[in-house]
Amino acid sequence: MALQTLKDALDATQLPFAHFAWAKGAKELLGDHGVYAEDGANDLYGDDIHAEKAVEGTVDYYTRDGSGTPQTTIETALNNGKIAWYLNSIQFEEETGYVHYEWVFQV
Amino acid sequence: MATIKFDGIADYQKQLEKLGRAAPGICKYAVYDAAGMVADAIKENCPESDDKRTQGDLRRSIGLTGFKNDNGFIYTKVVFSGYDRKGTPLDLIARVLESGKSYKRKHAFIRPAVNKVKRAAEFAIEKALNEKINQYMK
Repeated sequence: MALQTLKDALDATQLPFAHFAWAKGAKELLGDHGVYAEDGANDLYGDDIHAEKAVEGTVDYYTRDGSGTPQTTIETALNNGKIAWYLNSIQFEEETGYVHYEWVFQV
Repeated sequence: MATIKFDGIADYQKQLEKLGRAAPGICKYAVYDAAGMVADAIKENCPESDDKRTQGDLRRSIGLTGFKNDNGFIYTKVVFSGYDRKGTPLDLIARVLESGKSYKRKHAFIRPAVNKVKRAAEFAIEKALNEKINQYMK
């Protein structure tokens, strides 16, 4: 299972991650938190079949830690899991004070 | 001694010069078609859930900017222009939908649409360029 590879890599960070969404109220208790979700594919076609399958999606992490440590931790974990990724955006949420990191992955 | 004679080099040079002068226009023609395909794909993927707030304004606001020529790199951008009925910029709404927020689940619709249509758009550019170049080199 391709997504299991991603889940294992994110579990290794020991940061709180949920698949698609957190249960109601959980995020508020946790503070810094992350979400990962798949939203497409990038398969390799050959001989009229999907010769290699790849899942694409995003990993989002919301943190008030301005040190950049969570970013490094997550990126190292993705590298260790041999997951293809790029940092898509870093945004600041004025309403909540969170820094929102967004990575696009393919696995 | 063998001699190779090549007639018509002057005509060929003229054709190449003509093609060189027309190149920016040809590139714009090719890019415009492909950018239209990308914009249509994004429009198609635009989430219905946005309709409650913007009543379809987001979908209707998708368009292309004018062409830019950055040192021979000719490009256009797909943009969301205008504001919703509460005065919020539509590109901001698109950004929130695409990336989500800590309290709002994301609904990525731009990147998947671009991924879906990327190869077809590249092929369309190639086809349009070949077609136009052949016209000039006849």
